[in-house]
Amino acid sequence: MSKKLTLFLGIGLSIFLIDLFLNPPNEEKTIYISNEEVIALINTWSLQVGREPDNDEIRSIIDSLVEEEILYREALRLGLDSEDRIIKRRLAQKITFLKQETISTEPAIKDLESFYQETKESYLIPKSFSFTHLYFAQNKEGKSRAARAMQDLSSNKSILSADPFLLGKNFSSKSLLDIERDFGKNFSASFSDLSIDTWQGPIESTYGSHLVKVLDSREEYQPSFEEVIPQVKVDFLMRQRDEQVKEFIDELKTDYQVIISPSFKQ
Amino acid sequence: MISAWSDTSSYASTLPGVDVFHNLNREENLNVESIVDRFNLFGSQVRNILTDVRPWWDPTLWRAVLTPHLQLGSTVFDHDTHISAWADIVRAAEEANDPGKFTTFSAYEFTTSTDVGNGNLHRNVIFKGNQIPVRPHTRIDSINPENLWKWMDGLREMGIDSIAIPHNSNGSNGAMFDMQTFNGKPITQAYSEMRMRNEPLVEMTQVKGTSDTHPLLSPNDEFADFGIYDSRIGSFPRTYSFPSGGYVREAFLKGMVLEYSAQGNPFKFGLIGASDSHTGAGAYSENDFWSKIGIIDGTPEGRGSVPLSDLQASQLPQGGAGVSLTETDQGTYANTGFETWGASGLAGVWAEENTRDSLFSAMRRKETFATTGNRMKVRFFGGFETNKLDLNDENLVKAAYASSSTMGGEILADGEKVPSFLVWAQRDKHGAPLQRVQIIKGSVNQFDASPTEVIYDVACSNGLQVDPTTNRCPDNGARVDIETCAFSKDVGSAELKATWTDPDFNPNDRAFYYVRVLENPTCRWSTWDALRRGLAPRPDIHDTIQERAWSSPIWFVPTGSNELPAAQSMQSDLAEYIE
Repeated sequence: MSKKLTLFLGIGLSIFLIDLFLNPPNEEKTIYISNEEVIALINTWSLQVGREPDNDEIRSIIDSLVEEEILYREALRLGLDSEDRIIKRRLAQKITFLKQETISTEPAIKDLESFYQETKESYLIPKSFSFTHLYFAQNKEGKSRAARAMQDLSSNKSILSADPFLLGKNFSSKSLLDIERDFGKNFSASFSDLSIDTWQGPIESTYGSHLVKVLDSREEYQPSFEEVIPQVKVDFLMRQRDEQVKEFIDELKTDYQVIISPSFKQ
Repeated sequence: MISAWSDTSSYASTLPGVDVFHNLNREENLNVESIVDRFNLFGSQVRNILTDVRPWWDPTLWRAVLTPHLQLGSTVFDHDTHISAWADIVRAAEEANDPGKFTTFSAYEFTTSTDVGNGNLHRNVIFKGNQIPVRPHTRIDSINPENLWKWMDGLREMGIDSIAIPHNSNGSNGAMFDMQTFNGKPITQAYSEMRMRNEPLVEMTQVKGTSDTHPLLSPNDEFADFGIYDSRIGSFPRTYSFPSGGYVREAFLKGMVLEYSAQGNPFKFGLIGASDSHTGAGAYSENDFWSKIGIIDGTPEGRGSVPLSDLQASQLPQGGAGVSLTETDQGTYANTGFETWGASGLAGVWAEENTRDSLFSAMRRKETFATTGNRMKVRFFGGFETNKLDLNDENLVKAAYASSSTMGGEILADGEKVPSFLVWAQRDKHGAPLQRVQIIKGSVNQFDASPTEVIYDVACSNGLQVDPTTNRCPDNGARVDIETCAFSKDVGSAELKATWTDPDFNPNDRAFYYVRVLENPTCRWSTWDALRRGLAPRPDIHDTIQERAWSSPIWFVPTGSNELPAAQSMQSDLAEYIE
């Protein structure tokens, strides 16, 4: 057994030595271009140009590849890459992209579903209100008119005329954020305390005084997985990309020791 | 492309002529002193090298000519960067689109300009849906906007709808609303139709100035001196942009004059505002302004609102670059043009719902308005019965839609009937109260198409009445305290609403009407910049502004105005006579 092994190693060694003798290694000055590389370049070329390159063109594609490679190596030899911020950033970027690209684009439904379960709350549809309002413009004694109108309403008298509101009278399924955008913060703040189907107010907005009747409010609503699949997919892929990169960095970080001068002061 | 050129590890950075961009964003290159270099790079260099075509014997040039990728012919063009940048934009627009909440469109800027003299002809091209061409039509394909419209027409035939919105006409040196085509040919009916089919909107206001009108064009408009930036966009050295042909109000008049001589109206567009920001974030508030480019206008020193340090002042190259210094008692300020820019603007769209279809249709029918960054809202209706609307009717808007045309529309003549209008403006809840609402009327005379412009105040704050001899509201007394930027909160109106009937109407004259809403004065961004440094505002620029909103116009169309106009028929009479 060990004899055979010795023989094997001996033959191997002599082949190696002969080879070394006949072809002294000068890897630094050898440019090896694989078939795959050439095919990839040709494919990119035809994608851009819309037809296959002819022989001359293939030659020039390879020539420029060779030139680039030579310049690149010479630059490395001169140490032009060291401490170049842009090269560092570019390489860091590249490795990040590589990590991002390793994700298959079509995630499995069951993965999406479990992702949805995990991040359910981000798909919550906030509480919304459908309401109508009577508006009393600021510059037309809105405050006192609104107060009087409220009294009239509570004593079942017919209401004196209100003013038109630029954004309309009836609002359907508006979240508090929507309401704040259209009327102002004070107005939306008092909204969640309102009871359904009775006139209440006056509530002050930026534009004047309002009497509000909430016709319907829909509680915060959790849409089912099926309703939000497209959004879940986008979010899932985005998180997967981020995670993959983060995992990769974390893994590498364990190999590194970071030293920051303890006496550093800005 | 520029980030690819500046990144010295990229293939694009090895292309001829782009070495001036190398390492552009290295730390040592990010300072106020780099202003002149950057002007040079983005002004002259980009344009020069983009149009640097490969020599005729270069096979790449022939590929460019024989394939749809004309851009390959440019010596500095990197096709991969181009395609992948566009794919990124489209993907981002698709991912962020959330119908009902946040609507996004795939869009890009067609950054063209006149061949000589740097007349800005930029357009933003916005696609309606999610079917998007694989690459955009750019200035390397052609600098003539008519070729953009042809490309858009072709796509539309394939079911891909888009609109282009010209911007920064103020910096076009008169080229944006010229009375002739890009190649100096007369405007034809076909040209006008093609332009309107593709460009129903124009940007009224943005960071690099407001394009309503210029004091030289509207000498009787005491509010015209607003957001005036009269340099050609990207010119190096900075060069004056002549006002005529660069402003919207004059363009509306020119359009009607062209129509008078049977050339169609290529300038019958609606209005929007936008930021034109280069940083991905729009600076719309005077008290939170970071301008729009990033490095060179990102500091108060760079944008000329506070004095330069002695070192900066000594290092800033002056003279031929169009950059100069102004010495004052408070110190030395940079004049780079940034000092005249503004915290502007936003687009308002009246649409049924917040979706791509609904918003795009509203933009097409020009039911839009522009603001200088504040969130004022404005309604505008016109018709022969509009003055009969009850301003206190709770269903006013519904009634107005039923009886009148809305912004972006037309009123067709009906005998001697006189049109009337409803304007209704609501303040921004975070801005200052409203001061006044105006209707700006332009008309061209039926006999010789000579143009007239008149401005009527139609609603004043605090119940004040318009003076019928001057057509102006009296001073409402609102003031700004320059030392704190506090403004009168108790003067001004939360909303202004009025109907108005044209007192100088002639049913035979073409006319347009649009609304301008004015807020009470507030501090300009430059005053805020100075205030935060504990300094007085720079003395030679405005310290306050009046934020404003503009509606799209409503046009009045006289009877028979589509028939052969007087001038033309006279010409043919003459021809007969001579024979």
